[in-house]
Amino acid sequence: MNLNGFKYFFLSGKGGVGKTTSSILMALYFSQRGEKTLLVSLDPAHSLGIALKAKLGELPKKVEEKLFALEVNPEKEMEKYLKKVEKEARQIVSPAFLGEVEEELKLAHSSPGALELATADAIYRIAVEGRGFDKIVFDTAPSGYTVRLVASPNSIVKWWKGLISVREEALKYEFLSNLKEKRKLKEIFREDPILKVLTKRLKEYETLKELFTGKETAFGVVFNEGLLPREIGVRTVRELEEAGAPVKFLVFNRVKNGIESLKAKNKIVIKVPEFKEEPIGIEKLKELLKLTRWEVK
Amino acid sequence: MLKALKLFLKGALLDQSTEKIEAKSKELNDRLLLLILSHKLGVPNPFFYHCVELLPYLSENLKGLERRILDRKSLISRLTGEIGEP
Ligand SMILES: Nc1ncnc2c1ncn2[C@@H]1O[C@H](COP(=O)(O)OP(=O)(O)O)[C@@H](O)[C@H]1O
Ligand SMILES: [Mg+2]
Repeated sequence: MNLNGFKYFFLSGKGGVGKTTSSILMALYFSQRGEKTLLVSLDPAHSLGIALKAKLGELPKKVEEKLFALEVNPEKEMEKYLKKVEKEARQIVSPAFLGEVEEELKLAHSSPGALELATADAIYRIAVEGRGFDKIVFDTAPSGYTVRLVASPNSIVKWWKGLISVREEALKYEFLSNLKEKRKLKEIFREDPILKVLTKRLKEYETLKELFTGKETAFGVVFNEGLLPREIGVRTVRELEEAGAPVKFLVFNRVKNGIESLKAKNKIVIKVPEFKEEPIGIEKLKELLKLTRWEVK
Repeated sequence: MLKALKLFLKGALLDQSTEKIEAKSKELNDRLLLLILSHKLGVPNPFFYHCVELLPYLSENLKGLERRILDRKSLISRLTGEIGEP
């Protein structure tokens, strides 16, 4: 097994273990082999731009031959989406009902799963828009919770399909009771804004499920030396695997003497040594990549 | 010709029970809304964030939904029986 067979890479691990650094190393590795690579950060702290010493935005920016990078902020995306719904509500909802709708929208800001789903939205959008890339590396992977939220076996897709069939049935009865209706039922279905939203979401969840659990995807967990950091890494692997995410590689970062080895069945191990200084800026990162060892099984 | 037939069939149905058919449609939309706003029944909807996009289109059903829930308590068990919880 090697990493070249995958297209999407998600790097997980606790804050500070070296996710951003490792993501860049991986992306550099692929781009140097001639693969058009997109590096994506979902970290609101803009750590990717800092590590690359580049000003990044929401659109891919070329940072090296064959290497592009972008940064999105899921929290901001969440605000944008809810604002859009609010605006739409003010446009189409009659004043008598607006208050109730706005109240529910307020709840959505803090509803459980909101930020995770906003993150999933961003990943979905980038995966769709990034079709022209050979490899896409995500710094800050979706948590096990996010993976479970969109990728659990079939029940979620079934749930969205359930909503669709309830709405279709409602429209059918509406159609039967409205003599003046000139459109065909099929047209009514096609033009119904509720069915439009529902089918859009169904498609998104189907795609994300495939993205988070499919054959083109490799999840990786970044480890540090020491008993406790290792235990935390092992737990992250377990959490992701229980959620159905395919953990294919482990990054062992800041290896000091190289003696400590990581036993992992069926997983690629990447060993990144402790660098002599902070590996910031593309030149230093290239140097670090030369010192990195890929233990392919 | 087909159109005329359709109108005739519709008319026949209408004659029978326009109100019933209309009520059925409203009930189904209530059902949809309840699945989205399941927190009103004490069961949080993990996809609420993605569902709020639908609320502007269902706003008329939102008014008085709780009262109608009470009127049709049995709906809830039927609901979860049919589609299940997410
Ligand atoms: N192999 C390494 N050698 C030296 N410093 C490193 C190494 N890997 C990461 N660092 C430094 O450690 C800090 C945290 O790394 P970072 O990649 O930002 O972690 P994360 O993204 O997991 O929060 C950064 O200052 C980074 O430059
Ligand atoms: Mg980081």
